[in-house]
Formats: sequence, C-alpha cells, structure tokens
Amino acid sequence: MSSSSPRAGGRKRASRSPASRPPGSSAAGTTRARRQSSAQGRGSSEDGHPGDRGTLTQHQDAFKAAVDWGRALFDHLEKEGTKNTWITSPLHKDGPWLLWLKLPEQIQHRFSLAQEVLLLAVPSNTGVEARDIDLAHREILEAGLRLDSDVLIVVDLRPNLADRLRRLSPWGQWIAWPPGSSGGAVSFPPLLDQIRRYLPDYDIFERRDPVRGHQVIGRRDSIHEIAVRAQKGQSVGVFGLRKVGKTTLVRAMTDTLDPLSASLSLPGRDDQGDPLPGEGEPRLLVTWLDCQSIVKRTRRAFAELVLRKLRERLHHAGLPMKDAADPDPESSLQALLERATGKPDLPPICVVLDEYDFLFESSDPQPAIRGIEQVFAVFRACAQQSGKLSLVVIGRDPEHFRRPRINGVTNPMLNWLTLHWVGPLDRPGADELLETLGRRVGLGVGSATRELAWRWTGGHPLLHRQYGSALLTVARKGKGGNESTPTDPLSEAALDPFLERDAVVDTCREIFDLLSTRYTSSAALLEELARESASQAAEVIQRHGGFAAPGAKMLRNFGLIAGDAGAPILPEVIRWYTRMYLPRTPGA
Amino acid sequence: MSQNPYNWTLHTPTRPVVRAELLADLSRRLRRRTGCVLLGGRGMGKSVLLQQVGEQIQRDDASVRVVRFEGPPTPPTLSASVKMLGDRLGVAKANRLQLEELFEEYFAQRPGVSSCVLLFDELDQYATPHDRHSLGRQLFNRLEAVRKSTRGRIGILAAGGLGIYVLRDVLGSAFMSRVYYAHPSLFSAAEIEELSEPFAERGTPLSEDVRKAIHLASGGNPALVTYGLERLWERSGRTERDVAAIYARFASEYPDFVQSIRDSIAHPSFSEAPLRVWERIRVGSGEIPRAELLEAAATESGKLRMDLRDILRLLRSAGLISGEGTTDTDDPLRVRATASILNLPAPSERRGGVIDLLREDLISLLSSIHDWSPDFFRPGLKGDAKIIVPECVFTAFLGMGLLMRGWAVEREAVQGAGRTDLKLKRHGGTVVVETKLWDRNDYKEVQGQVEGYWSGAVRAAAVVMISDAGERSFNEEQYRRRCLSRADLKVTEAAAPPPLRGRFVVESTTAQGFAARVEHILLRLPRD
Repeated sequence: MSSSSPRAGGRKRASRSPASRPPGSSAAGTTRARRQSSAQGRGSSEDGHPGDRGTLTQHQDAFKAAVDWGRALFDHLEKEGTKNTWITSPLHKDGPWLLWLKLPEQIQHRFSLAQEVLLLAVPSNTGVEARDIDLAHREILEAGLRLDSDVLIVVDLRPNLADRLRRLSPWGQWIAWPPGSSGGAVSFPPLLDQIRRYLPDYDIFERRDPVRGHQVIGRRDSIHEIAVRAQKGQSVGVFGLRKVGKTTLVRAMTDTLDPLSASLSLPGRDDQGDPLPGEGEPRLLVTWLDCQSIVKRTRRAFAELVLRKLRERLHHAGLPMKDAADPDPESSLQALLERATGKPDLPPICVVLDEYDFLFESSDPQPAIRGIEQVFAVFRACAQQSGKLSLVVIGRDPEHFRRPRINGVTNPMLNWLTLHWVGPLDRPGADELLETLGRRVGLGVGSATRELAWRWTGGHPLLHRQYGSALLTVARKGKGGNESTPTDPLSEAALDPFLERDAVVDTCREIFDLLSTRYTSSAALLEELARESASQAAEVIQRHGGFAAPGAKMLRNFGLIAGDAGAPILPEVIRWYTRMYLPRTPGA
Repeated sequence: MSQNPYNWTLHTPTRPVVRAELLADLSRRLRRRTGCVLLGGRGMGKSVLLQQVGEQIQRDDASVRVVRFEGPPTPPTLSASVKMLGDRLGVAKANRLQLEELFEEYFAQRPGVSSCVLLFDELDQYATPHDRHSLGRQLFNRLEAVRKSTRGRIGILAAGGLGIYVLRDVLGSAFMSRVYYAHPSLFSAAEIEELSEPFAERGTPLSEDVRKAIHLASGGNPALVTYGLERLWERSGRTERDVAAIYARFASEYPDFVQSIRDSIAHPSFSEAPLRVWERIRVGSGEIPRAELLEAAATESGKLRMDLRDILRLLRSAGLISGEGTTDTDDPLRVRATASILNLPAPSERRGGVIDLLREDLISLLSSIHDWSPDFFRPGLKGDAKIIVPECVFTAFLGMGLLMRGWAVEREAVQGAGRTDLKLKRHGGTVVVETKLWDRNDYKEVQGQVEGYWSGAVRAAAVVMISDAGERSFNEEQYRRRCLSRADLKVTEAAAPPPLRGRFVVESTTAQGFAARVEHILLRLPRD
C-alpha cells in the first residue's frame, strides 16, 4: 500500500491561484509543485473553489490509485452525500493525504460545523503520527479558516485508531473513522455515527485563548463596524477587560479582510507554495504586532519590528522590498508607508497593535518607550495624508491616547482613534454561543439554560463558555445514548461545577484587581453593588454619583453593569465571588 | 547494609513516584501549547514532577523539544534570560533578537521540531516583592505573547509557590491570566507503599502500621516521606516508635526547611494573610464560618492582593490543609489542617510541674488528633466501613508530639509485653503514658498495667483511651464501670475541655507500695 509522488519536494495541491502568488517567489525550486492545468484560475469548481474540476479529479484518481482503501472511501462519501472539494497530496511515499470534505447540510447544521472539514487519510502501515496531525493543523490554519478549525477526521487501517489518537492528544476534536471489512472488501461505518460518537468527547467550550474562525460567535456588528472603519483608513481603539474577546474580534476582522495574514503568522510557512482556496484577494493588508512580546524597548527596535512585519506583508502583496538594514528605521517606515499607500492597486494598510498598553507602561523602569510618540506621529501623518492607513490598537483603555503630553512632548495620538469598547456579548449573541457550541457536543441548550447562564455571566464570553463546559461535564455524567441531551433539567446542577472552575474565579478576581488598581471609584462601587441586594442597586449607584459618574461609567464601558439607571443589572457571578472570596476592602 | 536508595534532598530520586494522571494531563496540555502553572509548597515534589513532565512529553511526542530552566539567570535580567533561552535552543546572538524572532529562528533551523515546551523551576525566584518590573513579569508576559500567537508553538510550565501570585499582582499578568493550575498532591498511602518497596526488596518490609505512622508524621509531603524512609533505612529498628523518633527531630535538625515552607505560603514583604488563614484553620475543628476566614484573608495595606480562594489553593498546594466538599459555596467551610509535624501546634511558654506539663501537652496533642481524625482511620476491606488505626500508631504519634515538645524518651521503654507504651522524662521527672483503644484487647486492665510500671522515679502517669464508638457505649459512666471499678481506687471526675470526652484523676497504692496518681483522658474520634 503506497502512494507515489510524481515530483520530489513539498506538498502538492489540487490547484493554485496565480493572483495570490507572492511576487518574490518563483516556481523554480518551489517545494509545492505547480500544476499547469490549474493556472487557469479560480471559480471553476462547482463548490466555489478556485480549483478546476479536472485537477481535482486527477488528484482524486491519484488518491484512489495510491491508497488501497481510497476507492472505498470515495464510494462511501458519495453514498452519504459528502463531497470532496480539495486534495493536498503527500510530500513523500506513504505520506498522509489531506481531503477537504463538504458534509451534507443537515449534518453541518446539526453539529454546527463549518462548511468544510478536513480528513486526514494515512495510508502508511505505521498509522497516524503526531507530525501528520501537525500537518493537518497547519492546513486548516493556512486555509484561511475556511475549514472547520476544530475538527479533524482521521482514517487509517491500523487497529485501535481511537486509542492511538487519544494518546496523541491532537488539538481540537478528532473523529476516528476506521474502515472495517465486509466480505473481504474495505467498508466504512456511517460517518454520521462517528461524528456523533466522538464530537462530544472534546470540550469545545473550554477555550481561554482568543478563538478564530467558526468559533467567533455573537460579534457580527462589531466586526462589521471595525472592518468598515479599517477599510476607510480610520483608526480604531478596541478596549475592554482582559479575556472579553478584544483580540478575537479584531482577528475575525483581519482574517476576513486579509485571509493571508492568518496564515502568514504560521511558523515556517512555505511562502512559495500553492495558496489554498481560503486565501482570496485581500481587501486590507494587515500587519499584526503583539506589543507584549517586545523585548528591546527602544523606539528604534519598535520601528524596526513594525518595518519588518510590514515589509513581509507587502512582499506577499507584490510590492518588492529591499531587505537591507536601515540606518534610520523610522524614515524607512515612513517611506514604505507612503509608497504602499500611494499604490492605487493595493488595498489599504492596517497595522494592529495588540496589548498596546505595554508600549507605555510595561515592565521596564521608564513609563513609556522613549520616543514612541514619534513612531505614532509617522503613522498618523501617513493616515491623514493618504486615507489608506488604519491603526487598530487593542488594550485595556484609551488612557495613553488621551494624555495631553507623552514623554514630555505633545501627544500626537490625541483625538485620533475611534473608541470601540468591547463588553460582554449581548443576549442574542450569548444565546447563540451556547446553542451553537452545544449542538457541536450533543447538547440541546434550552431556554431555561440560556436564561440562567445569562443571569450568572452577563454574557461575558469566557464565563459563558465556562458555564457551557460545566453543563457538558454534568451532561456527560448522565449520558445515555448518542442523541442530543436537553440541558434545561441540568442547568441548575451545572452551576456548582461552573463556580468551582479556576477560570471563573480568576476572571472575577482580575476584574477587581484591575479596578482597585486603576479605577478605584469603580472598584468601590462594584464591591458595594455586589454586597447589597439587587433591589438596592439603583440606590447604591446614586450614592456613588449616579449612572453617568466616572465610577459607574467605567463599569458600563467594561460591560460590568447593564440595564439602566432605574434598574442596573450586575452578573450574579460577581455577587457570588464577592461574597465567597473577596475580603472586605477596609473602609468599604 | 545496601546503599540507601533514598535521599530526600535530591530532585532526582532513584525511586520516583509516578503520578501518571497528572503527568498525562500536563503533557497533553503542554503539547497543545497551553500555559500551565505547577503550584506547590516546599517539598511537594515540583522539581521532580517538572523532570517527569519533560520525560513524559518526549515519550508522547519525540518531535517536541523540551527545555528546562532550574532558575533565573545571573544577573536576573530579561536580556540574560533571552540569551540563556537562545543558548539552550542553539540560536546564536539571541540577545539581539525580539523573543518572537528568536523562536522563528529556532523553528526555521529545526524543521523537524514541531513545538517547544519550556519548563521553569523556582518561579518564586523570578518574583520581586511589589515590583512590577520584576524579571518574572517581564519574561513571562513576553513568552505568553509568543505562546498566544500561532507563530509561537510553545507550551510553558512554571513551578512555584507564593511567587506565582506576586507575578500576577499589579494590573495582572498576561501569562497568569490564562494559565491552567495544577498542583502535586500529597502522597497517598498507596504511593508511600510504592515508595517503600526497596525495604521489601531488601527483605525488611515496612508494616502497614509503620507506613501509616510515616504518613501521619509527614502528612504525605513527598520530601518528608522520603526523609523518613531515608532515616529508617539506616536504623536497625523499623517500628512506629522509630518513625516517631525520626520525625520528632526533623524540625530542630532542619529549621530552614520548615521556614521555607512558611516562606512558600507567606512572607512579610508580600502578604501574611495566608499565614493568618492557616492559623485559623489549624485551631479550627474542621468547620469554619466563611466570614472568619474572609476576615483572616483581608489584604494588608500596600501588600499583595489575594482572595480567599487564592489562599486556600496555596495552603492546599503546600499540603498544609485538606478539606471535603466545595469551598465555593459551603458555609461553614469544611477545611482542616493536614495531620503532619508541620501542623502540630508549637508549645507555648510554660511553667509548672511535670504533671501539669504532661496534661497540657496531651490535651493539645489529642485535640490535634481529634481535628485530624479522618487521617486516623484506614479504609475497610472490600468496601467495609473504615477502621481506626491500631494503638501503636496513636502511641507513635503522641510520642513524636511529646518529643517535639521537649520531652525525652527513656531508652529502655520499648514496646513489648509488660512494658509501658511511653516512658518520658522532663525536668528530672519520669512519666508514663499508656494508650488504649476502647473495647479492644486488655483495655479494662489499663489502670493495673500503669500501676505495674510504677517505680520510685515515676512522678505521673496518664492513660489515653481512644474510641470511635458512639455516645451510648463510650461515655464516662461506661468507662468508670469497665476500667475503674476496683474498690481501692479513688476516682475523681475532672474537667474535660473540648474535644475531650472525659477526664478522671485516679489515686491508688501500687502493689509495690508506691502512691500512684493516674490521669485518664477519654477521646472520641468522629467517624465522619
């Protein structure tokens, strides 16, 4: 059993899109071989992919010829109404094949799956290995998140596939699909059964890092607003509490408008290979920088870093770059920005500074990187002159953009940003999150469950997910069959396991820590609100200066109190945390 | 004598206990590039676990590169840390690179490496009191940024105690904000049995009672368990009394270790709130109103902010407290100090005669036994009800406690027929302590046995009668009837402070003509 590779080198894909090809790369010496037949462009596939059917068919034929059970797999997929839309063939003999599958719509909906999922087919006798899983993961990320970012179907012939996958502990949700034999021929069990069996094993709610792709739920309006502004060359400040979903929100915008920016962030990306279907024409050229990772806190080092990242992105957009060391990185940055924004055929540029607060207050003795304001001055000048540069900063609050002076000089960022506060999800968004992810793991999330979750978390996405995770834990204990479990009878029972979670308590504590360090009037108000009964809330706020006073306003910005002045609402989890764990502040 | 397989001061034990479940969990999380923290006090086995996690990851996936750091570099600066990281990864001129570039460079050089797991030991050394510019915060926030980005491909595990909370303080730490907490648990009875296998291999297996005595003295603290086994290996005797003698010396022999345990949970520069909560739990009876703990947990002005959950987690991870039920919703909280030499109350400044001192010490120790009563039971066979440990274990525990309180053991007082349980000396006076379990063996003859030990040197004696029986069968009246019914005894009922069940002072004349005065102290251990 083997697959043959007609060319040495890297992975081969069913087609490529010449428009997305990095201009700096050439076919010579590429690791991903280019298929002549695919050069005719995109859109010919009936599924909307840029690949052409002829190429796909050839690859399918190659797969069927190379893999003993390849034909049986395709017969089965066809029988179940599942389409193969893309194939990445292996690097070497016996290497794994990656097949994109479009499942029938009713299955997609039933399990909240993305339009397409990835199947990892391992023909080798050794069975699936960790590096195969890594390869599949990379394919998903490089696909511009068009594939379902959490699901991987794995097929190999060796016994105990599920056990082996369990030991490998791949990321996300794996579905073991081991073929059996019937009358001497290879046969496959119904894929639906396997999906139903394995999806609930993985706790899709338990995410603490920013999510992407299909997991971004309930933020459509915000994503749209930021996307519109960025495309217009306006600068935006995205602010809010930690873990409330700021990075998720901006990533969703950049993944949509510049899918390549997602895959560019992958380590060791082979930029000379064939682009995948998700990598369409960018509507924005995104350069992403996490300011927290900066070690050398000098103006020059910061400018160099921005310059390097910007060059990398522009290089992929076809703007040739010289890569020499810059005697003056700021001037180079200015020149590069002017050149890029002056190109009429290039989309606007968007520079994202995540955790921007670290530029101003991080860990070093000085309060801000010396001269940092000059780099911002370059951004602002270019943005105002060209209208094609957008700066998106992500952080806790806009304080550093509001100070009249910085490092002793006039703050060039004053009145520049459009503020966008990210609070908890709204009620429909919160409901959608529970329902969507619940379907994925076989939970039928009912109205009583949604109501209770909303009352306790106030829509905070991480807390809402933690409640979903607790719900799944409770449901698993009483699990009967493979059918969907209605959650309403379990919703109260999930409350204790929810409250026992470190992530829940840590989130509440962080809120109080932040407020008591930076917004003392808000901290005092929140503590008093939490200790008093809900019916006293309006009166408490009045005692603290009213709904529009700074203390209450910051709590509203952070989404910690909702409702109106007459009936303010505080998430129950904040009340619970205060009563159970928060030592009383002296004098409170 | 064969070579001692134990060395409690080493982080590379020859016979490590494998905590398979925890190892598998951490390996899985780290291979998924999660940020993790291993929270534990001194001696809880963090360093050993870190080593084992590294080995487990390599077994699970050889394409993962594991790099372990024993502590911060010298000088403890960010640039030195980055250089050290670069050196370990084989990336030249790392200090000229941003951290993200360093990893990019590394992965570009090593295409066969799928991801990199960084293990940091001694996290507390990275933390500086009230210094938001500390190396820990600088380094870990940056590493977190690299981990979080898809470019990162790194998992991080850092092990420490109180320093973990220091890193988190002041506007929070991005790393600490998303970490998964794990903590090594205390050794269980089964793990102590596993660790003591070399004794069996040598042909001198440790009895279940001896292992139980080790468990009670050490509380299951891995370093303390290993210390006991190491010392026991070299002794000719391997009884419960030997265990008591070994552990009784520990605090005076290794005061720095005991202090470092305290430092791992509280420090004047950071916060002393954990110490206050610990003290409150130590004097509690197992059920403490939440309000009292919240009061003890109050943050001192300008000090490290910790909430009650932090403090309970810290104390638990140091093996100093344990509890049942949930600390998240219960009030009162069911939480108690772990049975261990680390939790035995220190003697207060005292004056008085030998009799008074003995009574005071016994009452204090018996109060601890009462508070820790779940630890003085062992599981029944095949699902039967749990059973109370035998007399010898109680004797060993009391002996150890008395030794720690300044009493000296008379060498000839060894266990055996016709010999006293404990014969101790203080201020030149000798005392005898006899421990019995109610309704077992010759318990009714206890007064006569103590009289039999009496000599001219004996100044006082005490009988400790312990039972897990209910109120109806174990009470003062029953005790008088069954154990103090001799007509020649002058029995006086004395005050019995809680949690004692009763107390009698019995005066008599022994067969040899000595005037004997024996204190009988009754203690009932709750089964729940």
